Amino acid sequence: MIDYYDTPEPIKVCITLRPCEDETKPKCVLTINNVIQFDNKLEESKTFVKYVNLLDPISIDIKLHSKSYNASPESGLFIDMLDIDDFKIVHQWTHLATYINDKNYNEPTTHLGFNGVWSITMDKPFYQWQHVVTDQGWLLQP
Amino acid sequence: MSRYILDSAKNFCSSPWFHMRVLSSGQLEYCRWMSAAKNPLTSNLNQHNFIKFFQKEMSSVRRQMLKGEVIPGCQRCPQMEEHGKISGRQRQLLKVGIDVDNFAKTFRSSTFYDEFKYSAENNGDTELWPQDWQIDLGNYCNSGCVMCGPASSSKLAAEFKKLGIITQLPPKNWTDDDESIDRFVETLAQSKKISYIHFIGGETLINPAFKKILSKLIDRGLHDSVSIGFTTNLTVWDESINGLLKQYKEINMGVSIECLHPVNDYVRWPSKIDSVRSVLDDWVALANENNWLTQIRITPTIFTIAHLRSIYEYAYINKVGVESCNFLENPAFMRPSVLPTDFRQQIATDLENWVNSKESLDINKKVINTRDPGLVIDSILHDASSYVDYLRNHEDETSSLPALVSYIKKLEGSRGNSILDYSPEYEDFLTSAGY
Repeated sequence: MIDYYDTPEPIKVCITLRPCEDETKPKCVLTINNVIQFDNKLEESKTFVKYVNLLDPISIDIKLHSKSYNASPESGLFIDMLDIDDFKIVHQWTHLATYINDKNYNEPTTHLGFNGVWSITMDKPFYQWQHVVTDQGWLLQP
Repeated sequence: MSRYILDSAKNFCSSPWFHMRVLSSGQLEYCRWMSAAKNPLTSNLNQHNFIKFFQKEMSSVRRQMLKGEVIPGCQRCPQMEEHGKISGRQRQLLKVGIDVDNFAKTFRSSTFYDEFKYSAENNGDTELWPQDWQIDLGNYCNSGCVMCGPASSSKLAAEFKKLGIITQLPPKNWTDDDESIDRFVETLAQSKKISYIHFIGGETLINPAFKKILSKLIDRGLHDSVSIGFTTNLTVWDESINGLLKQYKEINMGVSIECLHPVNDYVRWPSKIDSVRSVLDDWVALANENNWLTQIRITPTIFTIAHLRSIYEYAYINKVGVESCNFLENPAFMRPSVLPTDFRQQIATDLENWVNSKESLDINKKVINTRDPGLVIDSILHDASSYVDYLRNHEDETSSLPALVSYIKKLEGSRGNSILDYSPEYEDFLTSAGY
């Protein structure tokens, strides 16, 4: 049953970040819709869950910073999971993300080994965005 | 202000917010999938403003939809869904971003949600214009398919009259009147947004209105923004029409054929399968050259269901979609479910074996966007599977065999043919029903 005036259920954003196997743990910042969820050294694999409004556009930024390429070249992190309402962005839709970094590495990846920001943006309500990226055909506008 | 609660998502359809249909007579309908006999609306293109029809007269349908009520004219879609076939409702919902398997969230996220709410607060009215049309151009047709009727075939209308099956010919086609065509095109040109127009006949390509409307839409510059669909019976090839079609931004072509067995000649009388097959190959080649979407349109009956796999095999090899709009409703005596059980089970097993012999990404996954070229194989296998389910589970309707026999005896008397020349294996049960 749907009441047209109910507040819609939110959608669940679920992200798992894991540090690379290296003595030096990566420093990173996770931001969802401009709100910082984590800003620290990532000591171990960690899962973040955030609920966002159904109709809000979604932007997710994962920033790796302060990496010393000489002292700890293997340091970095992996995005092991990024699910939005059980829709697996990682690894199936990783190519839709951008990774702007100081080594100009721009292949689709979930491994952040360079200082920079990995971002994915859904510029419309999530399910409209999903309709388009999964090629569901026409999405009529009124 | 009425406060609406959508009680049952399974009855909701978004179609009345963007789609309508014009019948051959000019009568207006709220949906191409609806049962015509249960149309509660009576407006006609020639006498009424079709925008007013869409915005106001269709309000009663929208009101029922918004509450999730069962609508008598909408029986076909639940039946399709029951047998695992992709229904018109599922297709129309998807066009506004609604996924039936995740209804609540996708409904609220729909590009049309504010329009649904507007209608809920305004007695079902909308200020939208239709943007997805099905246009029946008229009943001019060079075929007299056995499952068709006079409203869609002039050939059959004449034959029925001669045989005394009908006493009056169907009403005049709305497209016989040039002024109606002009008025129709003019209103389309004024539309804020038109996405898709699908033309059917009769045989679309022999109706002069098809060419006229295509030309007029080009003259109005709509060919750059409108997708055109049409259905043809594979007996006509007209280069001048092909030339017009090539000017449009997108073409969705439906080609009607039942099977590649000679019984297609009996069912789609008086076409000949060799010629039909040749024209089919030509259309598929032309579509591939021009990046048009092709779908084979089938209407499986008691006569063709046993050979359905030949058409699925052709579609599979050529990567062409297959679409049957719904399980045959009328004539009821020609439904595949009129076959005796042992025939039904054997055909179901053969078809299931065919499906299982093919590789699919995921046969259990529904492909609602049947126009996605990347999923055409899954879509074909899914459609075939819906017939396996139908044959196994649909109610027994063998009681309609005498009515079937009575009907085909009349037709065969006029046409000088016999079903037994094509399907001798049907002799025993047809004979026992009076053949």
